[in-house]
Amino acid sequence: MGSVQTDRRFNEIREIPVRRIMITDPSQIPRDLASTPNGTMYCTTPGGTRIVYDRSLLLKLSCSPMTKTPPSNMKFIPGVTNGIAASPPRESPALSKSKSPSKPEAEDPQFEMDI
Amino acid sequence: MASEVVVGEKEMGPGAADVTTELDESQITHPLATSWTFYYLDPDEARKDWSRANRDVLSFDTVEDFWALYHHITPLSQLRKGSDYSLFRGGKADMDRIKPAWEDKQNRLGGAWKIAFEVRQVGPRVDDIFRELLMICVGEHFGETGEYVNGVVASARAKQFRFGIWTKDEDESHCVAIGERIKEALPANMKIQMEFVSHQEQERVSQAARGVEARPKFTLFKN
Repeated sequence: MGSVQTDRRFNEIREIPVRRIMITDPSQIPRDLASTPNGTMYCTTPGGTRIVYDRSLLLKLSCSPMTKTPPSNMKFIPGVTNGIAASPPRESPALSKSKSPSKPEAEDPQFEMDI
Repeated sequence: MASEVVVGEKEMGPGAADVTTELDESQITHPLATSWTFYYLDPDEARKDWSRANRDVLSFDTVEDFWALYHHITPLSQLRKGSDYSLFRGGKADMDRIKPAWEDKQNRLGGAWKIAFEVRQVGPRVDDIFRELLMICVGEHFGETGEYVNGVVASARAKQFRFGIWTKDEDESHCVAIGERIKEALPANMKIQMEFVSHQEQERVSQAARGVEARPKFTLFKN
């Protein structure tokens, strides 16, 4: 390896050698956030380790009991964050179906702002 | 050697469940590839001083914290008009945070894939679209080009919901690959036009006379 990155992992343009590790069970995921399966360390791997979660697992994990309460360090912003868990996302395979029960939208807000 | 860890539910073998029962499964957290910070832009603050209008809501680096956040925020469809939600990389100790602003050094040379939906047409389905975009970011669904994805901005406006997926540069091979992946995550039954506009171009237009429109560098169509 020619150069070793220290603080930023995404600023070098070159192919990252990739080794795919298939995780078959949650127990193979280290609890320690500094390590990844097979023991790769973020801090010692040029280019870093990319951890990919497919859609179905992400949706499954959205129902975890740990997601039922707001993260303890989440800022409370009136009208934006709340303390009551919304119902978990539906496990629908695609976006094709639209949900019917919805309040009619207020079509005339006080102002329009463009960025 | 770097490694890519693919975590997929479908790969779980029939015997896999037996092992997990020995662990307290409810306590396992799933680390994300990088940390992310979720921001809320308050429309009143934005009119006063845009540069200070984005407020941190949460920095997180696990799948569980991502969902815990997601379950406790107002859905985009019900958010006050003029507000933005943004999700950008960084915020924890693993990497510098990328701020949701053109001026950030990680954004300056990049641009954004822009997708707009008419409020009347999309309705509450916009929440599903936003969720899909968040998931392809935190789940790292961009393959090799993922490192050029900086974040996603969702804007609730009077007549439109707008999304921008922000990139680190405006290189065609990176941006088109990222755009194609975004396209896949968008609803199959809607006609959608996606435009990539560099931040420089956006800035030029913002300083130009009213009515000048940004020229997209790349365009993709769905359906």
